[in-house]
Amino acid sequence: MRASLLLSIFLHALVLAAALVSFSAHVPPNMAQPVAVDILSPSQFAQVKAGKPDVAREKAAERAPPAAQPANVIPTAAELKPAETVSQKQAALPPSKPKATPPSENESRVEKPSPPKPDVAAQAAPKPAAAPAALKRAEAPKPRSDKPKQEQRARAESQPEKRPEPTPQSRNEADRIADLIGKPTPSTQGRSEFDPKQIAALLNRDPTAGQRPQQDGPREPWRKPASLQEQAIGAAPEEREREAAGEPSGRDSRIGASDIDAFRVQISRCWTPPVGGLGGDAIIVKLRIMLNQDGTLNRPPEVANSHNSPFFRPAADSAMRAVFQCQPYRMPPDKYGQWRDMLLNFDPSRMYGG
Amino acid sequence: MTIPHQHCAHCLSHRRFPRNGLALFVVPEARRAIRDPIAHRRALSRPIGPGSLAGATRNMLLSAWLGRILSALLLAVCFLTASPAHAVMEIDITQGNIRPIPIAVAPFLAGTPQSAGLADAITGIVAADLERSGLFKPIDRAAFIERIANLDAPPRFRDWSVINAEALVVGQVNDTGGGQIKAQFRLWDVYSGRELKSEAFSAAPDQWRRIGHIIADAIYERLTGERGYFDSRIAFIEESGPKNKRLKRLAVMDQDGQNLRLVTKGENLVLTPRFSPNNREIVYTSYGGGRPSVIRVDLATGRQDIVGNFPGMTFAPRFSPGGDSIVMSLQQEGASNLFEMDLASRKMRRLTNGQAIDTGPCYSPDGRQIVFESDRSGRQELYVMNADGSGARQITGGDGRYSTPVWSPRGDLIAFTKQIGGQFLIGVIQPDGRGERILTDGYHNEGPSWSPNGRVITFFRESPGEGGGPRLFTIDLTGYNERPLPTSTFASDPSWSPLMK
Repeated sequence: MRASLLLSIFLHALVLAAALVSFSAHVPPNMAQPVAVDILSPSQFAQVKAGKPDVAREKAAERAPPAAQPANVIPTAAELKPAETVSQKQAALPPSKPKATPPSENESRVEKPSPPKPDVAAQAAPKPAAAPAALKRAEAPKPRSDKPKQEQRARAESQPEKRPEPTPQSRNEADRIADLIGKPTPSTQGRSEFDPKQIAALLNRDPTAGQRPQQDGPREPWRKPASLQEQAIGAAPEEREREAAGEPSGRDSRIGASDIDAFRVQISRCWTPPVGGLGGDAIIVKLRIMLNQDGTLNRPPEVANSHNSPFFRPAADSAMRAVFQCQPYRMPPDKYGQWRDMLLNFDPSRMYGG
Repeated sequence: MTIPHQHCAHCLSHRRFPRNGLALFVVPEARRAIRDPIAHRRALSRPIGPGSLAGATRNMLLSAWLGRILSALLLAVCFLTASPAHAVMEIDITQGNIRPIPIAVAPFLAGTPQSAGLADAITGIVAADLERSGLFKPIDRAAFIERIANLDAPPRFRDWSVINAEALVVGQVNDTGGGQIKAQFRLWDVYSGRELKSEAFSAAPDQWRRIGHIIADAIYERLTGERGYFDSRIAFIEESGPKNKRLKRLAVMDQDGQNLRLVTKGENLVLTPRFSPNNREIVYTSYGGGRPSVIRVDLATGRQDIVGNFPGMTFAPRFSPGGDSIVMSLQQEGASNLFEMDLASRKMRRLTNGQAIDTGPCYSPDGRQIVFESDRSGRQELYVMNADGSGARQITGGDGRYSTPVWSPRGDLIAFTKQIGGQFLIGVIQPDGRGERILTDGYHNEGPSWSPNGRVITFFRESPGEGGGPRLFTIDLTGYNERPLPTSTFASDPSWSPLMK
């Protein structure tokens, strides 16, 4: 008995030792830095990717500032201390992740210098019925009129000095929003963000709506809506939001948010969504793209969804054109494994404030 | 990288035009299915989770009775060595450009030397139509590198992408003899090298303008998803002579301002022409001898008949979507009410009954509702009621006076004239009263009318002053693409026809 017990212990110790040796042997040299691990179900994965907050997290955020929470979000390199790493990884284990708390203000700020463009994008309610509420919020003259949820999401740009002042212009924009969000929006994403800059893609020249100079944009067709720079900047706030919603912000082997940003800007520059179906259904096109290491397309993109709207095919074509046109993509070569295969969701609905 | 060209020769679908007449039948004979990667839709697999989880679990079970320390150690080992989750990275692209699509319209080939002129003219129409829509930017042909010589050979796409063309149109016009010409075209996606559309048409040579418009419509439809609107006409009141002695004649022209035809001679004052849904008739108001009458004119034969002589003033007759009745307002003793008249039986049916001024009725495209203007609340506002006159509800409010409502052929919007602060604006509003948006402003804009696809509005703008007068304009729903619609004289009261058939 004793012998067998000893043998058993010995054998287990052996197995353990072997495991230790073999496991550590498999650690590639560049894995020396710790890495967060998530195990997610596909739906959770999609949720995290979509930046959708979950209820628990939101409630927690409402109750108290998340400053001291053991975040499973990886701190930025500047903040990372060696001692933190192990607990960090444990915190990042399966069950905890989806309920993760948003990153602290500092984190997102350090990572993403706030853009020059003020963002009043409201995380507005998904249903038309709730739209008026969002509207009132936007119209309120107080600078901090946004509701807490929005604040939390847009934390990165919530420094007071960066916030849009309640100038007549912004009020005017709010009026414009009012004009635009009146329409029923069958939002497939269950959320919509109102960015006046983008909403201005549709013009309202009502002289009674406010300041003429604002609305008397260039009469020249197609000039005003979106310069490239605006597009470039316009893409940024969303990324921060996604980070805030728990998306891995990337260190080391994770692809960096700035790289994703740059990629997004690059594609946005080439993308001209068809105006077909303007204000109607939001046609979202999902493209699966495979890239070579040099950033060129490995094969023609595949359309990964379908829709029986007559506007879908032109929408898919426009997305394809964008992907073809903008290659090669500048991505970090050492993280090729993460960007060789991507799914792009082309969603023009927010361009029109729909 | 290389992309295979899906090239297919001689398999254009084909439409045939009868030789004469305004109403043409278009019979698609064959339609080719274009092999399209879009058709290959594949469900995405989303690999998730690190593969080392199972191993870790097994190890944990083995060491369960070795004590907490050991298992904790093992756990730590597993965590240390786990690899990051592999997943297809998903990125949302939510911002694009709002700009016209750069398109190259290569000069159409001429099958015979005689058709060279026609080929050139049709090319010009296609490019001009696309440009006017504001959604396309035809590239100057001086920049073209490849000279298309064969319609059935795939173009050299690099030559076109290098001049920034995103789409390429090639075409050919043949004189097939027997007084017929055949026109065909192919639309290519330059970056992916795919053929997006190809069609062929036969028609009498004098229909060359329509061939150009129909090709432009096909391209527009394929690239935007919207129905085209180029193969359509606009009726309007042509105004000539000095301001105090204006000659007003009913005229019809192509939507691009070409092919002008006068329908009336100008002996009577004519107002508010409206196309019938079948495109063959126009109904308008005429004030001959001070008496208003509603007249219907057959465009093919020129025959005119008086739909009704009414005791009081008559305003704004308009066809129902079925074309079998018209709706209008009649003035009686200071009040104005809406009536519907059955064109076959000439029976009148009263729709509103009150002391207010109800006028400017217009059916919804499904014929179930009518939008009109009324001052029943004390101010001119827009109302929507059921087609039988019941259930009227006000859809506008706030400042300003609203008039001339017109329901979009798509049904989603109502265009109107809004008078406020000394200005006349053209705007749109949803039938439920939400989403009012002003598209254009200025001294005096009036009389909106929708393009057949509900994306563009034509209206007239009055310029002030002694030498001033009304001119036609078009503006699209974004509010950015406003264009004058050139006419040789002053012009007012435009009415856009449905697409020709």
